[in-house]
Amino acid sequence: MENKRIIGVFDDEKNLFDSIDLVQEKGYKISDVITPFAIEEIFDKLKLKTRINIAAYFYGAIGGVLGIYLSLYYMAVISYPLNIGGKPTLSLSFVILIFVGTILAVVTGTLMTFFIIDKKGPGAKEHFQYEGITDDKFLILIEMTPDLSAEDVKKINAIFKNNGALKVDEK
Amino acid sequence: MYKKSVRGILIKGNKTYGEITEQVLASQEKKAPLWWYFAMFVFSVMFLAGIWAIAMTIKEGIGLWGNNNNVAWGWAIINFVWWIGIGHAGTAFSIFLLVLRQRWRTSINRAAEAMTVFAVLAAGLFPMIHMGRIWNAFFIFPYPNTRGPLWVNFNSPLFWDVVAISTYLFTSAAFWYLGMLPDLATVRDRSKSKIKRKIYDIASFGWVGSARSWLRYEVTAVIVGGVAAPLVIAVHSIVAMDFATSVFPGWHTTIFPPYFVVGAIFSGFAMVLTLMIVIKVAFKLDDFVTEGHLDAIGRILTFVSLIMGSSYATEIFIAWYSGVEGEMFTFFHNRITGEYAFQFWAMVTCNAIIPQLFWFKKVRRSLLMLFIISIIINIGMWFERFNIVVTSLSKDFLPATWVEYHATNIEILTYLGTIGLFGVGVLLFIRYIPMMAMNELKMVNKPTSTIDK
Repeated sequence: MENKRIIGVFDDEKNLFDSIDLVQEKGYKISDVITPFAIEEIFDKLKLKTRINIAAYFYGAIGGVLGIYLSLYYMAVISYPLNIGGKPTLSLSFVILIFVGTILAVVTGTLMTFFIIDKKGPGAKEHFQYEGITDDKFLILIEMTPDLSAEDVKKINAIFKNNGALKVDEK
Repeated sequence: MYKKSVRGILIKGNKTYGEITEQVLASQEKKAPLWWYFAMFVFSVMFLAGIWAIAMTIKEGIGLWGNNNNVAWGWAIINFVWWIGIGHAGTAFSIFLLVLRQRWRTSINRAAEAMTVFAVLAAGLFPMIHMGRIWNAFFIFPYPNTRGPLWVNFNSPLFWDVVAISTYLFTSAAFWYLGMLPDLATVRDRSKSKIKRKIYDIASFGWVGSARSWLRYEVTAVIVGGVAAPLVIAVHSIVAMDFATSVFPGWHTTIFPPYFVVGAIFSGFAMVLTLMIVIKVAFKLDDFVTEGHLDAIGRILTFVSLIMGSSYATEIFIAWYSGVEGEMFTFFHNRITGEYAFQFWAMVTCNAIIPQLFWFKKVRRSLLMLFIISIIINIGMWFERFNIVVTSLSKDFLPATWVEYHATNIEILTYLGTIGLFGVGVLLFIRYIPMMAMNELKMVNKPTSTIDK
């Protein structure tokens, strides 16, 4: 069974930032922050990183440039070399198709990567539900692992309360 | 995501986040207004008429159109290019401003992208029915077949077009949907009926909004947007090359790709303006679509209109400067004067002259003027495509074959049908999908509404 979590509910980014800082200072591990919109400061504070951009580069380089070039080479040069006015079968104009094909490869690959690693898709279950998280509430989630004593829970509660949390919840 | 400094107040009224959700979704959670049903009826009738015309075309053949030996590309290609042009702005608007980190895109991008998707769908219809035997349409894709295998001609701009436009349709639809996920989740969480909740639950892909998701989401959006920006340029350049790689006077020019791209952005921005004014007025979203937003679009249109004007002038100058008789004839006797003079001057007036009124602040601040001029620009852009397609084709190098071209009723109905398709799409969009990117509005809310004066 999953551990319960302490939830600090905020309605303002400033209070949220302060609480995140204080909680981290005290050495507690924040398991997640849920916000209704993207906030870059939080990525920095939680030291989150993603490698989707690196993946995207390889989709373009391998899937697009190499893949499209090779398939064009196969189709136009090996499989059925068309003689159009004696022009070379491997034409420079393939650059245009490679260009567009690369974009298609990057878009498809990046989106699929995003949906797979983030476990999103039609019918995917929400991993967490709370009133107002997609509207105007900001949540800090701290997992109540067994080594978190009752004292710690109280301290976290106090931090949240002192920094303008609307309420502190457990779920 | 948005780091550029502020340009005026983008969201009026010092709103809280809750109020933004409330006000953007208000129009959907209420019953649909009467005009919505009326507009839906009108556009549906147009759409059905178009379907009938298309069915007739498929049943009887292209002979029902006004096309003839010379003018082999008539309204179908004109409308195709026109719709593709409109379809460009959505993504151009949304993505260029995303890459430039302009905050004022946030209240407009969703509608612009929706418009793109429907316009590209409408555009894609024309080449398909123009083939005559639509059931063979899959021949245009390269696949191992029983004919040799005979592949398509990879050097043909027409094939590049197939690839570019399908890529563009996929990319812009995907980008649109990706941007929608968090907002669909908002609708899901607010919905009271079980069925609605279930539908939006599936549609929102289980979005919650944890920090990790947001980071991945942002990076994905920037990458998809970033690679789509050159795609926008590529698609319309390729459409231009459909014309420019031929040897017809009036088509055979190197100016075509940039000229078409700029034209596309021009007509698309005008359509965005039309749509935003409708949304602003119909749903009273004045706080989100402020005068500043419309003013900014007006300024861009002025600038683009100048580019259009100089493109027209360049074309004419080069026709004279080249000394090629065919070019001279096309431009001076078949466009500026001659039987198509009306279309030519309509194009110049609508695209290069009337938008210059936007130099006046009064005009940029007047909703009515903005609306009228945005419609005029779209009409002008249609005439531009008419000019390019028909004048060059109708009188080519062999005077014995010169013909006139007149559209038949079937062609007109097909065109109306695509307008119907577009209208129905947009109406469904404003009814069932959050028409402004709420999560992005919330992102720019604090820094852009609290700074006063």
